[in-house]
Amino acid sequence: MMSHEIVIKVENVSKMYKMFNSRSDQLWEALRFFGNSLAREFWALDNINFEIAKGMTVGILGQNGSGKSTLLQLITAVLQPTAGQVSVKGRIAALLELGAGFNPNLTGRENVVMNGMIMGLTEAQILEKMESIQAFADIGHFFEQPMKIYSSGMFMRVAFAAAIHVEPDILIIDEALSVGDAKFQEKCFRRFRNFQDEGKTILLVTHDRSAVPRLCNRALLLHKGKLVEFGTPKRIVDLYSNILATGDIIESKSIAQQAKDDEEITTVFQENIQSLVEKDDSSNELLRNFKAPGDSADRCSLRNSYNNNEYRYGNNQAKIIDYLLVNNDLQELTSIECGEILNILVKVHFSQDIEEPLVGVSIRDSQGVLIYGLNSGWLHCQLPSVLAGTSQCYKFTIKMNLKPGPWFLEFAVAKTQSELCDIRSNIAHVEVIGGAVSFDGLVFLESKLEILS
Amino acid sequence: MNLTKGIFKTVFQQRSLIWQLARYKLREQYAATLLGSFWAVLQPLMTILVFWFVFSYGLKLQSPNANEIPFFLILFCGLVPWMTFSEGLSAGTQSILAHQYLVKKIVFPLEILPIVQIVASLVVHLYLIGFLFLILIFYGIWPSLYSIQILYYIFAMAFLTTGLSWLLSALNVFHRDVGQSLNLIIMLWFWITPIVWPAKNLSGWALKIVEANPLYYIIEGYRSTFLYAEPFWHNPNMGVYFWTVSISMFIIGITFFRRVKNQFSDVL
Repeated sequence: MMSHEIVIKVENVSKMYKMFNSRSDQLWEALRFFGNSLAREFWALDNINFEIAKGMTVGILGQNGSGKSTLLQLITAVLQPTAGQVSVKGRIAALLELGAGFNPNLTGRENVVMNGMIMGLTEAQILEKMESIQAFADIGHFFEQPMKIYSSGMFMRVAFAAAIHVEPDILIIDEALSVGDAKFQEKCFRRFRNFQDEGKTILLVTHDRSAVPRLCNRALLLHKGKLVEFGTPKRIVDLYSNILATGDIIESKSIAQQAKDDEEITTVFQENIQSLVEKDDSSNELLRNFKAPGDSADRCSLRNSYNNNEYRYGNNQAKIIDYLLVNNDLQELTSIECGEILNILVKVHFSQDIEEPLVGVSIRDSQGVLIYGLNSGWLHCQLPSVLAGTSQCYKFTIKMNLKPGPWFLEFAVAKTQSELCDIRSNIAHVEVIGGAVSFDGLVFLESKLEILS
Repeated sequence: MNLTKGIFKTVFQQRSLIWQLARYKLREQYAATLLGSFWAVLQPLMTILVFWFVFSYGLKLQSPNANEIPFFLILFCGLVPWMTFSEGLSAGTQSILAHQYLVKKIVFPLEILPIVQIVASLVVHLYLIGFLFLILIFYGIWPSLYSIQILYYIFAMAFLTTGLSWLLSALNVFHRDVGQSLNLIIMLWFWITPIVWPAKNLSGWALKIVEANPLYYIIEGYRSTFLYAEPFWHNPNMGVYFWTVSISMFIIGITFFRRVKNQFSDVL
């Protein structure tokens, strides 16, 4: 439930840390009225602007040191911005760091009381909720033991239980959930849903890219102290993947620009066509045209299944220039029946010599959650090395045992698992339509039922 | 002056948190002991006994008015506030370091931390006062109307300690030398304060130095409350001097504390 009421407003916010040579310098800096500063400056956040409406669940992505924690500390008012303004409406409960606000010498129960009082509850109010907190933390007799003997998981359970029971309007969580076991995480996510249903606002820092589309309805990406974008989880996860792959934001040129560039450098290429798995189908015109040697111009956008909102990144040492989705009868398709075979043909143009290149495909749902992905390395296919200036076609065969609905394909070509040449995320859209089988969930796992006599 | 604003309001609003923290502090301090919080009282009482034995029997020191008040009572009345003051001041100075978990990554009114320590030392103090009453009754001195003014002197002592603790606890975050040298200073302070020796032995410049010590007002206040039955307005000059020093210390302390407290989390 999202409303239009803005609960967190971050306007032109910058945060500068001063770094000192000694503690004396730091003390003197805090006291001085005039004179030169003794500090060196480090800008952790640079002119950040965004608004979060009530009821949003916002995932915050970014590499280590990109300013995520600083941003959360500014929102929770642990830190003050150097410039700009942060305004927040409502009570915030934050799990910024495991152990913050908890005295290791006190028991879990005592710490819950303390924590609640720090959050502004009275002792009576806390005691009223104690039973529910204890049940949620679910750490048995450890609740009566000093927290210094807790495992980090137990610590987190108590901290999380305390945080959600102070009835916050805004819940802020900084990667803390990752120390919980699967069962507890599941419990937390269920609680998240309750919070969302109640129209409360959640901010979540995570490195788990699949969690963002699953839990959040907005996301923002920080890179080197700057806000790259505030948008849909899918888009932000794509951008984040780009940063992880390339170390920076290198958005590929627009498709049109690409085609024009390619035309300019078109020369005669030595074509060398080969496929992984292939029937003798040279009689098929569609396939013949696809494999036909030609220039390196990008034809992906001409396909019916092409998705305009594709997201592309990579170092451009190789490029995916065409693809084809066909059924076993070699007919091009945009929709396929559940359980049928989808043949994915990908044409790659190499502008560098690459030894044993890797190609891959993956399938995501409409929220960007990765359902299935594979590459030639995992299939133990050693692809032959390629020369600069050549093109190559590859074919994947996938049985589409997927839930009816829209699915998005991603194609990738890489030099190694970490050197990504060209990733075209959400390049193609396939609609799976109901087939012979009915099932619940996302995938059909080829099940059988028998009666044992 | 801006930085002192609202400090009383903050303290009032956080009173239940202060009380809770003080309770946990006392519990924590004696958590691993068999005798528990009994240690809190046992230790000062033993100190008093030792001093009494050494001075009365070892050094054969006598009360100046030997026929009036026994030396033991003069000693007791001086040591009780002194021990609370020194305990509150040294714990107050360590208060930020002792509560690091409340400094980082959490919004917390750090100003109340030195106060928490002082409140905890006052809890022990009340037990000592109770003990003092018993001893006085044993010596035939019954509580009088003057006894009520002990509340005034306790407040005065806590007020002075608070101001000092704000200054010292903040400094101690940056330089731990503060906490280390404080032990030394407290030791010297003990001997230049007329606790185990009577101020009446002094005159001239030496007396001036003793009177410049704001704690002299407190110690003498305790004695006049319990032993001399003098009202606190009896010595207005000393009172005005004490409050001038204490209020200045209070303002300096909170101003300094608030000026540097944003740096705490970076240094710890």
